Amino acid sequence: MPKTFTMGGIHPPEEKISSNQQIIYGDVPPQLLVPVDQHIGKPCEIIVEKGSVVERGQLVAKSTGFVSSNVHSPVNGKVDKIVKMPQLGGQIKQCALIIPDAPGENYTEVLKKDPVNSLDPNKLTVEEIRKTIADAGIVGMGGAGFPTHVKLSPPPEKTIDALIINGAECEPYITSDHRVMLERAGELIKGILILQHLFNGVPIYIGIERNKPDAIEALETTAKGYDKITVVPLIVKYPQGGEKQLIKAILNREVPCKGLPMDVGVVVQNVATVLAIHDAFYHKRPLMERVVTISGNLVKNPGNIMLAVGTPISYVMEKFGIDPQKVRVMISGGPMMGRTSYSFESPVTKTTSALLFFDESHIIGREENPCIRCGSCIKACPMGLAVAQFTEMIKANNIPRAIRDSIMDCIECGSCSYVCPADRRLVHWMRLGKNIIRREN
Amino acid sequence: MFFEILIPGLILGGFALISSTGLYIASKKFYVYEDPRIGEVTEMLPGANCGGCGFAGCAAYAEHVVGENSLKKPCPVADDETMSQIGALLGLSADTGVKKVASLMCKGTSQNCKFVMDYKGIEDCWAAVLVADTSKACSFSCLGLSSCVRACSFDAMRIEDGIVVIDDEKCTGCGMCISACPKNILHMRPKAKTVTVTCFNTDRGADARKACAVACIGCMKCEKVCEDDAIHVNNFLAKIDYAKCTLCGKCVEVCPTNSIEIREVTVDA
Repeated sequence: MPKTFTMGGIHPPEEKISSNQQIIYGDVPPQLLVPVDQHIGKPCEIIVEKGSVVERGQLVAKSTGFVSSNVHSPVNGKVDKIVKMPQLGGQIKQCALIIPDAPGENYTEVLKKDPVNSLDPNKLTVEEIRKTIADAGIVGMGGAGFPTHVKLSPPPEKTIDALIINGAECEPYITSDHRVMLERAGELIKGILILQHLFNGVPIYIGIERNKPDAIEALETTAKGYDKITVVPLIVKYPQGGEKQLIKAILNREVPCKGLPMDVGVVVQNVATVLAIHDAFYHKRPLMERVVTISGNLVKNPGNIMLAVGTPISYVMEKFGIDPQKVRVMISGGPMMGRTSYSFESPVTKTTSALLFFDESHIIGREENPCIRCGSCIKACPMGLAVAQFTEMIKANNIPRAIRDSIMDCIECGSCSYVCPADRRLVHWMRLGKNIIRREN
Repeated sequence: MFFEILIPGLILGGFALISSTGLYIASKKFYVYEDPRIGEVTEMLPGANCGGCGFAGCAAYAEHVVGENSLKKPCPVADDETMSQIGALLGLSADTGVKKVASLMCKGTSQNCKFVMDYKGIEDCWAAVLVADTSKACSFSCLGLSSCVRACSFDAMRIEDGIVVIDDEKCTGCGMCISACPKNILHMRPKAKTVTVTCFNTDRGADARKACAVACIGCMKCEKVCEDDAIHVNNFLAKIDYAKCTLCGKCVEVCPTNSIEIREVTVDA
């Protein structure tokens, strides 16, 4: 019986139109804008300056604390200047503009030059594993960008007894994780084994939604013969890939209010992150590129492409023949939780799982109307929050009540906004409320 | 007939007598002495409960003033006369300080600074900043989504052509709008010094100019022309030292991008 979480959830159209497209390899663009900050946590310190010569894999920005992450240059080249650029998330941040030595070189050639390292994961020490992951600048590649080494270093009083690999990919349109699971299953399992060793051989569960039967099959075949690795097919329901929902679905454990997965003894990692961990060990390759799904109704040939971190969106658009004049909405990430962006010069970052381009036909553009008290948002909320009530609390600046009613447990999945018949910007109100609380403390 | 009226009358009268006695006893027994001056000061204060003094409304401020017996923290809204009256009542000398008003350091109207996106979210500056740092070409620009207007208790602010316009006459200098602005572009200036740099862009001159037609480009012309050493360019942005400014208006004349503004001097301050 396929598993799922119990509370709320919605069924948006899947639109996985690029799921049959093999991962293609992009070329090295004529210039790269490597953002200094691509993670949640303390900002990095930029260590290159105008005119510095950088090599592939060389540090561009150094982490400044434990909850921080390194950034590396994906190419050999020269730093032209340090510029401030609008990012895909909307914030304006510092970027290192790198002019590569060999623009136009296909990425397969670049990847071939990386060393191939053979190792036995069981001989690695715990410190070695954490240090390699931290040095490689690996962050959660599902979208949040939380530094992975922090997630892999739970405090000693919390025992981890299960590890979940998140291959649910519940967002519409995105297929990058799907293709990774299908095409690079072997490397994925190797990465998983490193994590299994880190947590003393805990059982591993790979959660995959049932709309990817080929990926389930591929991983089941590859995982055969390994101890304690189980592929768990999941019911197709959004947000199945939410950390807390996935734990509920697979292990039937509930993460407590304001708690973290480690409170119930679980660590969740995204498949793209696990692949990056594999690369860091077997190719000594820091996180410098990722698979990005290019889709949306303006893309004639949607696909999945391996792109260097820092590749400008305009370069991707040219490659996929997208007319900038026609684009009305550009979303980085999925349509549910992704961020709309306004600058075609923004670069691809470590957390860009997809780039979606739409024209007018996909804009609803209706005004926000009064709440009709239908309760749809409450039914849809996977965290069991009374969403409609919060908007009134925030409007009235009744912050203590919002805290009491656990506004901070909102995972911003957008299910409430999706179902609202009055087009209320519910998730935006929730984010505003959470922002007010963070600001006041 | 007579008794039918008399009995209810007596019953009600009896009730009234008992409860009034109870109330009388309670008011004597649970009497709390409150300095009568607190009430008097509250009466004198503007009564807008704006919170500009840092207390929860005028009554709380009056309690503080009488309790501490000090007027070191003057009500930012009340005029000199009111403050000296309060001072006379408490036997203190009131120092009202320089009257200040809020001024917007931006002139990015829809003509000067183009919108780069079509924001359709909640009408609130903080909510807009969550989506993107800016919806206009200049990342320091006023977003025009009325967060400060809602914070203003004195109806001194309105949105005009995409930016906030402040009515100097109505602004009392309570400062509540300053913290309501996510872009940090509202600042206090002495009411009498009507010259303002209407830009907060610290980008390089060329970038600033590209973003907005009336941006400060850091050309230093104002700094050179100023005879009182009152205007300085730092980080590609001019800043006025109001203690030294004499309102001569020379910087306004030389500014090539019209990003320094002088208004007609208001007399009352």
